Amino acid sequence: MFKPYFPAAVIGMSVALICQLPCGADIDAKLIDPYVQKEFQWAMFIDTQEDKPYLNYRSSRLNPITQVRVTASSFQQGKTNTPVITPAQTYEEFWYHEEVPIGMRRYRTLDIKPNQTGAIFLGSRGDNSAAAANVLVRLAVELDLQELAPSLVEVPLDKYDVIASVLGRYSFFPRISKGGRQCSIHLRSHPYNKLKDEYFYLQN
Amino acid sequence: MIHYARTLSILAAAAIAVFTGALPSAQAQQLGGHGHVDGGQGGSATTSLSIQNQTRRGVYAVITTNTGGLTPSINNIQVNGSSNWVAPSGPPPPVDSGLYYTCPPSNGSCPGTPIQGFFYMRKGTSVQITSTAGQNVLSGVSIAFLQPPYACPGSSNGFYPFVGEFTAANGTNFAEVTLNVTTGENVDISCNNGANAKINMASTGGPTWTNNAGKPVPSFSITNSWVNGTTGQDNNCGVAGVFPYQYTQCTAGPNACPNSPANISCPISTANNGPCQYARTAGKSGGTVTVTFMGPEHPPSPSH
Repeated sequence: MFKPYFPAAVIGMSVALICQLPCGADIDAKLIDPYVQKEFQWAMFIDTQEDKPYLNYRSSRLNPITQVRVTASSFQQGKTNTPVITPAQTYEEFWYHEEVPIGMRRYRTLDIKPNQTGAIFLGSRGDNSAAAANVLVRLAVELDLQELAPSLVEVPLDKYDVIASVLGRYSFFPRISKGGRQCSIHLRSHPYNKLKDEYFYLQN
Repeated sequence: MIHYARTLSILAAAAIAVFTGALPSAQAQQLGGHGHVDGGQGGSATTSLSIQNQTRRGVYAVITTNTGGLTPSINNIQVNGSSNWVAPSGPPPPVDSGLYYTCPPSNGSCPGTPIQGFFYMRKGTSVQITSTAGQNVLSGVSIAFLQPPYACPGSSNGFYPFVGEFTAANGTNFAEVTLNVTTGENVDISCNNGANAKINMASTGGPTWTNNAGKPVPSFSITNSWVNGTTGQDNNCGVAGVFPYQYTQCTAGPNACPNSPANISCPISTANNGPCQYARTAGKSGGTVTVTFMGPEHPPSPSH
């Protein structure tokens, strides 16, 4: 009686074990995610870390340091159902002391064609949302100049308000554009909240 | 697959039309525009139509006309005064200012009376759309972005004969207008087939418009939201001027994409197109309607 159920149980347990890692993971710096690769042709991930021991000496005025790493990847959207399994590569790194940028390194150039649809995802790690927002604005302007404006910027729900507030410091406000070309950032929270899904336009 | 889905959709819609004797606006587009109630020509004041690419990227704009209606061919449509629509020569897709027919491979070539054309809009540009039919009659004319309309979630289409179709993961949407007709103007954004673009449609000037409640408003501004073509979630429920995913009669079916997931977000009630359109009383025209491409639209990432 028991025997026929044994293989099924083993298979079920195996699937459960296999699924534990990728099925339960948020979008991360590797950008190996079915949603990302289905919806977009390129994506970036902003990861903020604050536990870096750099410049940590007595009388240091630059400690603590926040390291912000940007990874990027591109996909052939719609060409295949097989997800791209090559992890995203580091594009740029920034270092901040509180809100002040003190360093930046670019690792490579982007190999993304203009007018491709893409998105930027902000990770949940770290508390220095001001630094993350600064990187976000910098990326938005840089990508905009390359005609690669991201169609979506997704940030953790608990960081949305801080990011939105910092965007205001750089003259990005949630108003409808009055026409013409305007740099904009489509900010959306994760998990989704209807009230936290807005376009922020650069007001001249 | 798209042809199969569309055929089923057309058959279902046609059957409903036979029984009800009337077709709603969004459904009319599903039928290639046959269902719009065309009026005669409008009065002396005409309503202007413009299309704007507000984004900082280039985008294809696609215009579809109303077969058998008062604006029967894309050849009736002028973009900045030009109606020099031509058959596209081949890949790569153009990025200049030309006007091109969209010629589905099922036709072998562009049909005798082409109803659809596309052109490339550079970032931040705006064009004026006029009609050679009557006094600028734009009846059952729809405007889509990024790719041709009527692709249900998971289907694909493109700008033939250019190779490489675009898969519409969450379907496609469009703005539709009926302007400068004597029977009453109306406008809406249809997400019946899903949504691939965030489109805003706004009016300035001219006579008042009314929505479902019949209360006149001096102007309107309509913006659609996302549809999840995998789950059937729709963020367009109850949005004035927007036809939700699947609901060809605004607050009820039949479904526009019968082979795609059903709408699991919007409640079903008695069929009523009113909430999904802004309209003017018969004979009233004037002012400007602007259709703006705000960017590609995507559903939220799933909660893990």
